[in-house]
Amino acid sequence: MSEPIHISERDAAGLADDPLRLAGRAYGSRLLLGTSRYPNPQTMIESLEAGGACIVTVSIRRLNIADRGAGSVLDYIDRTRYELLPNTAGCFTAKEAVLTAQLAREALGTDLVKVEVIGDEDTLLPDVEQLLKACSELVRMGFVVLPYCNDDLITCLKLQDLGCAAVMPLASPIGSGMGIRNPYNLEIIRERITIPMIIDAGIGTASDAARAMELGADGVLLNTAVAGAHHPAEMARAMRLAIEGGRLAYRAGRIPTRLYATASSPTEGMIGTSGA
Amino acid sequence: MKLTLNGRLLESECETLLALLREQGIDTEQRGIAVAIDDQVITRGYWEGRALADGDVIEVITAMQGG
Repeated sequence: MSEPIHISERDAAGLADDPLRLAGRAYGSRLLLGTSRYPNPQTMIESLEAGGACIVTVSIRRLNIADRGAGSVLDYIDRTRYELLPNTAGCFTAKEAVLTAQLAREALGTDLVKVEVIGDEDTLLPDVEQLLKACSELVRMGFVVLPYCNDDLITCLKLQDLGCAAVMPLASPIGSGMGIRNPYNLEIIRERITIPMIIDAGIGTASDAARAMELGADGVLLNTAVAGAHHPAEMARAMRLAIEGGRLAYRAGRIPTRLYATASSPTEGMIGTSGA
Repeated sequence: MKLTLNGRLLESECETLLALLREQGIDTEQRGIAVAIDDQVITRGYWEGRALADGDVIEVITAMQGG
């Protein structure tokens, strides 16, 4: 008989028996958190803690040479507790993204990279042609490539064929908080690829994250939904619980939806009915 | 010689990359920084041996907040 499932300390510690596996590594949390747009560094630290994230994203930018007192995000993140996932945010070409990834590897000593090649400033949607090119080169260079991509099956299949460690389709545009706009696409991608699918971008609140996990996502990467909340650390905790709940629901296997009611109480033995 | 460092034009007589970084007041011992010249990453161990040439475009980066 299996143990009753409830949110105990064990569960809250992050489904220890069901880690997120990426490129042969196991992570105890399926929530990946960004480090940007928090009101202050202390709130960021509290949110990473409350979210229980193992992997946190950072960007790669010019060192501020004029102001050497300017702090780096590295001053606040305990690298023995959090694995850094550098991104190539802001890159518009494969060439820029590849150089940014190489600089990130040199600066941070990690082969993980979230590849982001943007095609349009207003929507921040990926440029698929440049993304595929960048990922192809980065896989060849030995990176663990995690591409931010469209919720498009063909793109995801191509990224898988190139040797990416996961695909990270968007739920909706970055920072929009619109949640999952096309659950059917994500469901199809999950069914058709064998590498992990991490939902990246567009999550607005906890139910969006739960839904992503119920659709079969292997993880959720988010930033603004937590950093921009009135109480970021509380929202981070909400995300953690939602992701764990969603994951458990996916594993448990939901009932099919039906148009008409099905009584849950027995229909036999009702008082006032005829019969033996 | 004329160099471009993080998008800023400057004049320097430093012969090597390491000397330039020090001249600019950059703590070259700090972790978490990386350098590229003309879109080629120069690994830390080569900073001292990398001679600078007129017109070099140098980028020094670090990790910042990101999503």
